This record gives sequence, structure tokens and C-alpha cells, in this order.
Amino acid sequence: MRKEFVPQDLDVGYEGHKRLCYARGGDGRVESVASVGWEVEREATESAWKQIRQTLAKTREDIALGRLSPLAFHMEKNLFTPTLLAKNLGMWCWTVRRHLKPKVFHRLSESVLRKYADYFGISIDELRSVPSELKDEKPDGE
Amino acid sequence: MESKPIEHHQSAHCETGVVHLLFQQQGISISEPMAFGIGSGLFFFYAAFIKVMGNPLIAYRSLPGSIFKRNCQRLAVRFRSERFRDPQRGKERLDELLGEGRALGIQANIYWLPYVPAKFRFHFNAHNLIVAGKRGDDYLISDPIVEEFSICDSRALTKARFCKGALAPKGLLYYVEGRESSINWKEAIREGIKETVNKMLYSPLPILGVRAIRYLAKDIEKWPRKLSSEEARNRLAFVVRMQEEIGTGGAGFRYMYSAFLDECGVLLDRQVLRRASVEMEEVGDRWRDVAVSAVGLCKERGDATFEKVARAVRNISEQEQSIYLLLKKEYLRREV
Repeated sequence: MRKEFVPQDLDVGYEGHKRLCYARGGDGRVESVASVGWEVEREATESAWKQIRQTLAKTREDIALGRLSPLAFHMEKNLFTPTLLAKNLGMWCWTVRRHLKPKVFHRLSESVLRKYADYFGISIDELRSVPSELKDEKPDGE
Repeated sequence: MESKPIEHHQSAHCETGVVHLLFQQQGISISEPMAFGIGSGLFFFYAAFIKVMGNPLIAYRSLPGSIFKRNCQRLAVRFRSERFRDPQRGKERLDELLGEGRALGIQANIYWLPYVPAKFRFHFNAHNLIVAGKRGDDYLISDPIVEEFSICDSRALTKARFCKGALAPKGLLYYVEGRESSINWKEAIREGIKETVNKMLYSPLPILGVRAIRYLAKDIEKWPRKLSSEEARNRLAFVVRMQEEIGTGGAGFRYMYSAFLDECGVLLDRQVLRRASVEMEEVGDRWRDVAVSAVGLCKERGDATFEKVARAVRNISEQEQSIYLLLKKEYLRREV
């Protein structure tokens, strides 16, 4: 790629940062060039987040209908699967899966809840509830 | 330690950036592309049967950690690396080594690093960065993919260093201990290119090297039949993300390798390397074309189809193969 063709499509997701890439300059040598974003890359990343938001919206519904516990929301919000979360907390995978059931979750002791809450960096009360929908969480919001 | 304090520079990719910065501290001036080439970083890996969060495993580069190791081997640099079972012990050792005035390379999960833009925080365990110092409870971080020094609190850093799962860092930290006075650049470059050529051309398994690029092409053709249209699109977008998202320098590292070949061509005065550099740049452009049509397909614009994308990927495998053959015949065999 020629240096002058390095895309500079401002991507707000970079949060003001730039990334470095390599391109050929006028003298025929390859050098590093800073880029503020590329539309194609932005769209690919966006599609991943869209997928995550969709699952999260579905989970929200399931929790409201009493099919899942609030833990499911916090787990998915932090991009964990039950297996991965269990590994990180030193629990059994089936234990975490069981805690996704509202009935079991509401009977959990303070100490187990604390373990989850601490890991996600939230309070126990926050863990017990699902926050109201955020703007950037909407399935179709860009 | 007689080493200088770390001077931060931004790089395109984390591990090559770490090599660049740590070696520079030792007085070895090595550019990022040079570290990438000598460390045999260029690769292709695709295994459809291993799923990570529902997506197939795909990599445009060699295994995390190998670039640093190869550079140390080939440039006669002595290093030490340590892993820990106990997070507390890992933290204490980090502080102890920092107290000795060392800069440390560490492996961490990118999701828990607060200074990384939210959009790029996924559970990826093999992000490399440098811890340069400590102030109170905060660490001074030199993360190669960021422009400036960053700050990370000790809680977040410990969490990131001891995250479990695929490629778990287990608190890995590594540092340079010393170096030989003379470096044989010519030999190091040759070794680096040789390994890349061999790995790309003569893989025993279809999931590695140019064969894996063909395997990917074949799979892309199958997706519209095998998967729902949404799943097929998501998967294609995933391939593009692995190729283009922050940390690859664009086009799945192909541009960075082109820069490496260009630099070597000038350094060693070998026209064949500069020719290979131009061809590798073209391969990079083709990978980017794939990204454009793949994303177009996902967004239902343009006239791209899965077959067309697959054909483009297959062409890339041919093109890459011819470059490695060129390097083998015109460079490796002719070098004394």
C-alpha cells in the first residue's frame, strides 16, 4: 500500500488514539504511518459488538421473565462463558451454570456472591440487579 | 544493571514492539519490522475444529512468545522468564524486579487493561507489554500499541496477568539479562527468513502455512451452505477482525513483513529481498481487498459473494507461495 492511501477514516472507537501501520513512501522504502481508523475494520469490529449486544438483550428478557438469574447478565456483559468464568474463579463449571438459575441464585450466600461481585468489580447489590438499558447497548445502535 | 530507562515508541504490534523497546534499552537498535522478521513472526494458522467463543481459531502470526524468544536466540541476547502459580507471589516478584531498576515484558489479558479503548477489549490472553516502573499503587506501562506511556493500577494488572483460559499468561514476566558484544545480523536475518519459508511452505498439517490459507478458502465456500446466513456473515467478519484489528499493522502482518524485507534488502544490498518486499506488499493489498469485499458481503453492499471471497483467498495462497519459493531459490540457496 502506498503511504498516501493509508486510510484515515476517523474511528471514535480508537478514543483519540492512533494505530501504526506500514506503507511504502515516495522514495520506495516501507515506513510506519499512523492511522486514525479504517471504515472496513470499524465495521468488522462493530459486527462483533452487535452480536454481543443482541445476546445481552435476549438475556435481559430472560432475566425479566425469571428464566435466568442476574448473574447471566453480568457474566455476558464481561464477555465470559460459564466455562471461562468458572476457571477464573476456581469453581466448577456446573456450579456456575447452576448459579444462572434464579431459584439457586437467590439462595446464594453472601460469600459466594462476594466472589462474583469482586471479580466483576461491582457491589453485591449491583450483582443482584440488572442495570437499566444503556444507550450503547441497543442491538442496532452504532 | 547498566541499562537505560525505557524510551517509549509506538509500534503496530505488541510483541514485536516489546522486542524493539527492550532491546533498545540494551543498546541494540532493532526496528519493529526487523524484530518481526528475525523472530519469524509471519505465519498462517487456521483450525476450523478448534472454536474459541464460537469462532474458529485463526492467526496470521506465529505463537505468542515465540517472536521474543527467536530474537533472543538469533541476536545472542540472554533472557529470563518466570511464571507463577500464585498471583500474590507473581505481584511481589514483579515489584522486586522493578525495584532493581529493570523493565519487564509481561503477558496479560487485554480485557482487564483499563487504558485500552473499550471497543478493543476482548478476552485475549496473549497481549504483551512492558512494565517500566511503579508509583504508589500504579504501574507505569509502556504498551507498544499505544502512543504514550500508560498507567494501570495494581489490582487490574494482577487480574490481567492471572486470567485463565486459552493461552493463559500465568503471570509470565520476562527480561533481558545481558548480551554478546557482536551480533551477526546477516545470519540472524537468514535464520529468520528460513524458518518462515519452511513453516509456510512445508507444513505437515493442512492447518498451518499456505495450506491453511487454502483450507480457509475452502471453508469460506462452505459457510453459506453449512451455516445460517447470519452465522456465515459473522464468521467472515471475525476473519477480517483477526486480520485488521489493532495490533496487526494491517493486512494480517503482511505489510510489516514487506517492511522487513525492504529493510534487509537495503542493509544487505540484495535486490531479491526488495523484489520480495514489493510482492509481499501486493499480497497485503490483496488481503485488504478480501477484507473490503468480506465486510461488503456482511453489510449486503457491493457484488461480493462467498465464492468470490474464497477465490480471492485461494489466489493469495498461490501468490504467497510464489514469494516463499522466490526467497528460497534466490536468497536462501545463494547465501553463503
